[in-house]
Amino acid sequence: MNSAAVRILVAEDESGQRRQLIDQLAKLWPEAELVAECADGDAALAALESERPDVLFLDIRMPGADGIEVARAASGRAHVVLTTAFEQYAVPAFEAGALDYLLKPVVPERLAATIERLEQRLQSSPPDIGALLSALDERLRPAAEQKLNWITATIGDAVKLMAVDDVLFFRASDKYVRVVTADDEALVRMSLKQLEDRLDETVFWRIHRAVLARVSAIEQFEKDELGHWHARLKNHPERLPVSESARSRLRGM
Amino acid sequence: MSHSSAELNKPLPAAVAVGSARWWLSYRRFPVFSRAWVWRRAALFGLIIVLVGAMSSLMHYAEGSDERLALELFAYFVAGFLVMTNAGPLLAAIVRHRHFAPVTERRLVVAAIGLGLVLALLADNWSSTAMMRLTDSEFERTMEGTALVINLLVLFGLYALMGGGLALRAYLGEHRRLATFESEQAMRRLQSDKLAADRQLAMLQAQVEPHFLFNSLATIRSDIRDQPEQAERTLDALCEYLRASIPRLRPDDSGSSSTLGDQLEICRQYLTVMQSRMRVRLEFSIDSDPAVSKLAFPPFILLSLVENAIRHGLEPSSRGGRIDIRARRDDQRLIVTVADSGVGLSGDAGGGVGLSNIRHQLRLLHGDDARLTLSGHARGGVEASIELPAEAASQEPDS
Repeated sequence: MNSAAVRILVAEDESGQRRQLIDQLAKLWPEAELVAECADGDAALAALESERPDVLFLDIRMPGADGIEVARAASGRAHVVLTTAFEQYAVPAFEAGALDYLLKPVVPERLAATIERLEQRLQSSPPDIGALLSALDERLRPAAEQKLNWITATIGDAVKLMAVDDVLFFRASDKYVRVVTADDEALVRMSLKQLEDRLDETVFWRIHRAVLARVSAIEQFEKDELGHWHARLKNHPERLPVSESARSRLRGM
Repeated sequence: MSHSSAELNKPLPAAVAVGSARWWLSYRRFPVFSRAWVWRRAALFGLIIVLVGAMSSLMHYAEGSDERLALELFAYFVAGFLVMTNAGPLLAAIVRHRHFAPVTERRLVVAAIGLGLVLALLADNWSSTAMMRLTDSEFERTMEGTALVINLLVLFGLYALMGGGLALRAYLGEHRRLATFESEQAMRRLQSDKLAADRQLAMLQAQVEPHFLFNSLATIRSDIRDQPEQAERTLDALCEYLRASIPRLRPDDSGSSSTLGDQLEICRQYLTVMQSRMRVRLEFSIDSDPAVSKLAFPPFILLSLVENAIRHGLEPSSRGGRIDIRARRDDQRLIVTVADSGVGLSGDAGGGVGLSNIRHQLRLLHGDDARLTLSGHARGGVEASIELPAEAASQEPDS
């Protein structure tokens, strides 16, 4: 450790802040050598392989791979310091100690303390921080994203967002699922099962193997000449097949 | 729903009253078979009866009958018809003002109208007989079989019509109409409460994001020594942005009178700060003609779209791109678009809580009259467009 300089990598997408951190590091840690200066996560991943840094300073939010992904790749190979503007959710993960973090704007006193800690840590081999990062990742990702509110449908070259609130029914055909609203429709490459799992089951009902329909859009059920049941909709001419099992389930609801 | 006497004599909400409410039909504004209803109706019907009776007597007088006879005819005519038209309703009103339980009241009202029919039959018989005696006319009373049945049915129908039969229908439906009206009112109240709560929520969400604030401060800090002018510009824009955003959180300024101009200005300050952070990775333009800036525009929706464009469009892209905001008026519609050239929409489905909130807010404010549409290219870039009625911003915050 004494002979070779500490090799450091800095990844930060905002160039002003990146330069500032590098300047401060040069001042406070003259023994360290900057081996990579990256503007996004992918560049950081590449430099991790090519430059073999000892310490990584990583912004959490970056284009390409984010700071957490890069840190995961570096786990057990290098020491990691994450930089973030706001630590509300992150603090518990940081307090475990194996990971260090810097709050932006980075002030010299805090950076000096971090460098001191790093110098101690560099005596031992870098810890495995995989589990810690997973916990952190979970905290940073809002749970509300799980519920489906919008469907992204590709129509030729264009992409369109359709609000789930407008959808009357989803109907599977071949590899695709048709998403149908009162005045529009599109195909998505998701299975009905995937959709069903992320939709409100009190709003959309599986009325047939191939159909998920908005309950409030159903006008009535009717039987055709062959004795098959169909659902007629309020705002759409298409008649939807209703399976026997679904019908007996729906009866009396 | 039970009414006290005072309430029974008060006009109903317009949505509950049956038929048009012209002044001469003003009785219809009151609960059916309330005292107020009966008196007003009796006055109207009485007037018509008096007029018709007077005309008929005048004709007899003109044909040579003497005054006394004409007057007597008039008296019988008016008395007969007054009983025919009012007996049932009067009895029903007595019932209604006794405040029985709803089911009992309804049964008794039906009975009262039935009794009224019988009284109408008797009164008609009495006055017709008297009038025929006076005019010495012979009425063919020896009808038989079908003719008699038809005649009785017609008479019965007439009595029912005049004696409150139609009103009975209105009465039986009144309860339901009132209940519907009240639940609609409650619904509207709830919705406006919800709208207020949602606005509050939107404002809380629009609170300056700490991430944004501290990152901006970090940028200013890093520029202060080497690029003081740049740091100054960023700081000025940040101040303007904070000034525009923070006062909206006060309860006395719910942002209800926000204009498109205000909202575009907040976006401009926000983008100026972001530009100093992202440097060459962000270019932007705001294109709106001065006439539209006075139009009403709900607070924070536009900023939310711009933040989305930065966060999901440009920030994830190493080479960055542009954001273009355009506002224009198309006749009675105001159309505002936020287009970015970022990484575009990805995946087949998304949470998009922020976008759902915007949609929801627009729906609460304008119903089906406002829309948010999002479209993009597979190659990248997203265009979000809000379309709503072009209305001048109100000076007073609405209650």
